[in-house]
Order: sequence, then structure tokens, then C-alpha cells
Amino acid sequence: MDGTVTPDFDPLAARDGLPSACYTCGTCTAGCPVAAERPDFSPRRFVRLAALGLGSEAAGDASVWLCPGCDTCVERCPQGVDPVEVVTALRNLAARRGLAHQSYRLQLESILASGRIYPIDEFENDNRRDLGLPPLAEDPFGPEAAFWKGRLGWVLAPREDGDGPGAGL
Amino acid sequence: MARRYAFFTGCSVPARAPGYELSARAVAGALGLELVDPPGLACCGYPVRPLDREAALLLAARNLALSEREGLDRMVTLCSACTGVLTAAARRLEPGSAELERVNRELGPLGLSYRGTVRVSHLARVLLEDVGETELARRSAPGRVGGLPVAVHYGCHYYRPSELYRDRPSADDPERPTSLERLLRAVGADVVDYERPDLCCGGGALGVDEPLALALAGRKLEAVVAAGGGALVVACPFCAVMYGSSQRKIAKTLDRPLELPVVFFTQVLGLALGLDEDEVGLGANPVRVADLGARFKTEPPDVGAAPAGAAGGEGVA
Repeated sequence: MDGTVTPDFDPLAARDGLPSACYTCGTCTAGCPVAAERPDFSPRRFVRLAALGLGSEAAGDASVWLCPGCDTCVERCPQGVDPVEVVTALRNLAARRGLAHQSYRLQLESILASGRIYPIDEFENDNRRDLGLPPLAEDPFGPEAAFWKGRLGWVLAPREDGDGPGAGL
Repeated sequence: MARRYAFFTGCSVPARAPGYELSARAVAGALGLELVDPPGLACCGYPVRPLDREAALLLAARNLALSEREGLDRMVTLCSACTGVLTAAARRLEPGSAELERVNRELGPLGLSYRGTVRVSHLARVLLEDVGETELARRSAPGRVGGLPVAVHYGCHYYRPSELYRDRPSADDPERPTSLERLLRAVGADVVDYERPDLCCGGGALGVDEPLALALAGRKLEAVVAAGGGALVVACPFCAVMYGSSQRKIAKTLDRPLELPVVFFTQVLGLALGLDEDEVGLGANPVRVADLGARFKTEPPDVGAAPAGAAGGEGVA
């Protein structure tokens, strides 16, 4: 590595949380519940990387998957940066590079197969009936299933590097 | 009042929190709110956002379109994560907007078209705004739920990002929300304050770093117990998973006993409205505590014409 980097993230994209507006005050990290438990985790760091256009570096960092999306930082940023949206955009970038976290891949598999993260079948509907709840469709997508597989199946493509970073987190 | 709402349970409620759904339907029924189940509702898109935000928006839009198709312009949600993404989607897909046009183009092959007319609200906000505290108080008999001090966990997506909910009469201050407490106090619950009511349950990190998520949840449980809370009230099934289903694990990690019932706000409301434990599904909650329904009462269960000012009864266990 010779130290040069190729920016691959647009810091001016409001859609991606407007990282370019950050003036590194650290209010986000100060109130972050994850940072309180994991000193190496910092919303400010992800916003900084994004502001520098270093999407790949941020997206390749496994800790980008730790953010629970609580939005405490979003509420408090004095500049209107949305660190959660920055993190989400970075995760999307990671997913496009085949680095989606295994837990989300598993949830997607379930959604594509059954329309839900927790499938409903006869067993669940029997329990629902016993409780006095109306049945739920076992296959809510119906004929739409092929459409959603087409739209999102790419996430589940086998990775060249085996499970890759993030799977062991 | 006969208001009709598309009822969006999301995935987690049917699978992990049937008591929430049961009590929600029962409370709505008791208050004259009609909950309609549009066919075809599926994932709101929340777990897809980290993978592909645009596809997640399509999933959300699909549910809005299906509800609209049933002639419904109001959608009521139970899970706060669903609430967040569906509210954000409805906000983005304004009638006449380029976004709406683009999304409809993409959903076209599915035979779906969204006109942008659905307003999404968490059930708690529907109860506060469409029924109101006065009516709720009127329908609740005193003594049904005031006997057990409860702490309220708001859950992040219920009121943040605040700019999504700013136009609601029940909008919360993002640094110190109060709407759920008002709802509970209206029906006579004894709500106690505790440190860090805003603290995230950690659910969003459970699949990535379980010890981290449990550590966050543990902090809340400790704070509630320290404040004398006899139960934790939640408004989201995943918060219930973190505080209820995971409570034993957390107790082990913290090396202290924990037996804090986790109940849904609709279960407390249901009891206050005169429904019984089974009707609000208290037995379906993960942390089972004997006679929880009785503990909520401030008077003995067999009271007839109680003299004014009668005290005593169950008290706090």
C-alpha cells in the first residue's frame, strides 16, 4: 500500500446522511450507547471516513454492523448529520462488495422464502387459533416471490472469500 | 367512533409477542377502533435497509399500497421498527412526488400502485390522538392497574427520529419522551421514573454482537429495578425480546437474580378497561410471574361496593 486512496463515497449526498457537514465535535460518540460499551466504536469515525470519501475502508470494517440504529446521535448532531444513515449507506456498500453481515443475509433468506423474518406455517396458525387470533397467510408474497428474489437475490450470492469478514462477529 | 385502520403487526409480533397482538386487538375492539387485516402484508423492509435501502423502500411501499387498496388511509403499527420505516416511507412518497413516481414504476410489474394517501401511526399514538386520555380515563375503572409500579421503556424507533413525528399531537421531546407515560397514567397506572428512559434496548445489535446487546438491555433492567419498578412496560416486540426473553441470560451475566415482568402497554390498558389476564394474553409473555394481573390491582379482587378511600389490597410484591 502506498498510502493513496481512491474516494468511492459521495460525502455531499444528503441521502447518505450528509457526512460532509460534520465538524467532528464528537457529540454523536459522546451519547452513543454502543460507544459506552465498546470504546473502539465511534459514530464520528464512520462519518469522518465517509466525509473523506473512504467508503470502502469504512464498509470493510466489521464494526460498521454494530450500530443498533437508535438515532440518539441523529437527534443530537448540531450540524444535521445523520450518522445512522451514513452507517446504513456504508453497509449497503459493504453488501454490494459481498460483505453483508451473516445475520442480515439469514433474515433476507427468510424474507425471500416466506415474506417474513419469522415464517408462519400451520403450527403457528394453530397456536394463533388457540389464542383467538386470525390466521396469517403462510405465503404473503404469493406470485410476487420471483420479483423479490430478482430484486434482492444478489445479496445472497456466494462469496468468493468464503464467509468473509462479519460472519464471525 | 368507528375509525378503520390497516393493522400492521409486522413479523416479530406474531412470532415473539402474541400477547401484544391479542391485547392490541382486544383494546381496539373495546374502544370501537376497527382493525382491518389487508391481505398480503409482509416484511416492512426494516431488516433489508442495511443491505439495500431502495429495495427496503419498495417493501414498505408495497404494504402501504396494499392497505390503500383496501380503502384504508390510516395504518396502525405495533412494532416500533416497522413504525419507523413505514412512517418514513409514507413521508417520502408524497402524492405527486418524483419518488412516488419512481417507486410506482418499480412496483408496476406487481400490479401495485401507491397514491400516497396512507398515514402511519403506532397504536399508542392512535390511542392518544384518536381516542384521547379523557376517554381512556372514563373507560377505566380505578383500582384495576394502580397497584404495581411500572417503568416505561419507550424504545428508540417509537419517537426517534423526532422529525418524523413532529407533526403529531402526541409528538415526544426526543430527549425526554412522555407520551406513553401519559397514556398509562390516564388509565390509572402508577408510573415510576428511572435513569436513562431513553436507553436503547440493544435489539438492533443482537444478531451481530449478543454480549453487547445484552449489556445494553441489562443496564435498563438494573435501572428499573433500582427505581422500584415492579414491571417494565414496552411498546415494541423486539424490546420485549431483549428485556423479557433474554432476561435469564442477562441475570446470569450480571450475576444477580432478575424477575421483572415485561408487559406491553396494551396489556396494561386492557386490564384497566376491564379485560382479564387471558384476554390480554399475560400468560404469553416470556417472564412469567404468578398472579401478575392481581398484582396490578389496588383493591382485593372480590371487592363489592368499596367504601370511598379504601386502601390496601395487593400492594407491591
